[in-house]
Amino acid sequence: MASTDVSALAERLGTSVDELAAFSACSPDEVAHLDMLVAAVFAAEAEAVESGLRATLTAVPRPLRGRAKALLFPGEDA
Amino acid sequence: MTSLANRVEIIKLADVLNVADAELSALVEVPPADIKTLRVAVGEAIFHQHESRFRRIAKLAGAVPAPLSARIAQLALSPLLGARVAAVMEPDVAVKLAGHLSSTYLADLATALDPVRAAPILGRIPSATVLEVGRTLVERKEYVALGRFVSVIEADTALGVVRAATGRDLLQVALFAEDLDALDTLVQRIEDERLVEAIRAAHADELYADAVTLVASVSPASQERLVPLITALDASGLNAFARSLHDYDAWDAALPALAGLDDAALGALANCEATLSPGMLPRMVEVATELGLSDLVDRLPGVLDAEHKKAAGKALTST
Repeated sequence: MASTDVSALAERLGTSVDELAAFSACSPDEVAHLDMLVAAVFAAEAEAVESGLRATLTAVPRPLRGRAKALLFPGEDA
Repeated sequence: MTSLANRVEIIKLADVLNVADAELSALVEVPPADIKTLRVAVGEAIFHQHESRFRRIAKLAGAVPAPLSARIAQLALSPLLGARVAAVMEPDVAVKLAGHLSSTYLADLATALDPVRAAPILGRIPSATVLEVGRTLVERKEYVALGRFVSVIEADTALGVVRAATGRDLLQVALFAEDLDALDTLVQRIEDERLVEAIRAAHADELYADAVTLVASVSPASQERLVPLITALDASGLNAFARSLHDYDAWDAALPALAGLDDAALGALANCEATLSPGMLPRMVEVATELGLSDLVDRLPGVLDAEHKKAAGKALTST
């Protein structure tokens, strides 16, 4: 398992190293494992959001779909 | 020594990370407040990464009639995504929408909802709906989610939810309560019979650590109600309770209430088999002394039998 220090975890979470200072007491491998779990939950959330947006668009009745697409996916071709 | 609060925080973090708590066994020595800091940071980061997209869905929900919006939500939005979107909705729209969602979907959604973020909405949803969802969560044993909700739903409604729960459920909801003041308010309003049932459930299922957590989480007034209920257990219950107090070094939560017991009840706990364990009675006396419970310390020689006096050793004579 690759070692990760607390700064990498803090950066992933957009917080300061000071906030997570207590986790420095864990071994590098333990911090790396924690960071991996956080990365995994981020990835699962991103997938859920993406598929949820697509599914929402599909569930919108056709007459409203163009408007819904413009709202849900701004910048994409309507 | 694992603290009770640490154990609870690890379970809550595991819930956010969607892993078994055993995956986080490396955190047993991390202070609970720091585990909570990490949990909150993870929750905030997850939310903010996609907040703009949640807001777009929320805007769409507000742009179509509520019945259609509810139909789309139940067809297309996972409960997790529904919960995220609900948190950024205009309360008026969200309340209207909730009125068209099935209670099953609402209960699914509630397990992922951040009740603090959604508090303006929860406060306006009819209490009958909140009660129904709460009872569904109890049936599903979603204790972590219920623990979050106790602090933000109206006290009468929370009481209605836990009144329908079994003693074991009640104990588990208390264990995961996010706001200990709200938990204490609830405990103060729960009838003695329900608390007795919770303590009996702890005894039957050997959830003594949970019972100790409950005692440690509430106010001194509530501790004075709970501790006598526990000391009224049979010998095996007293032994297990004493062992849990010692294992988690939670004597400070129980001793002030023990000081209020009569000699017979105090003696029943102090003279149980478990307190013969090396160091247990000396630690009990040490914490009582630290807490300034001199009356309790003075009473102990009078209630302890010869074997237990010997186990207490110098701790009694040095006070």
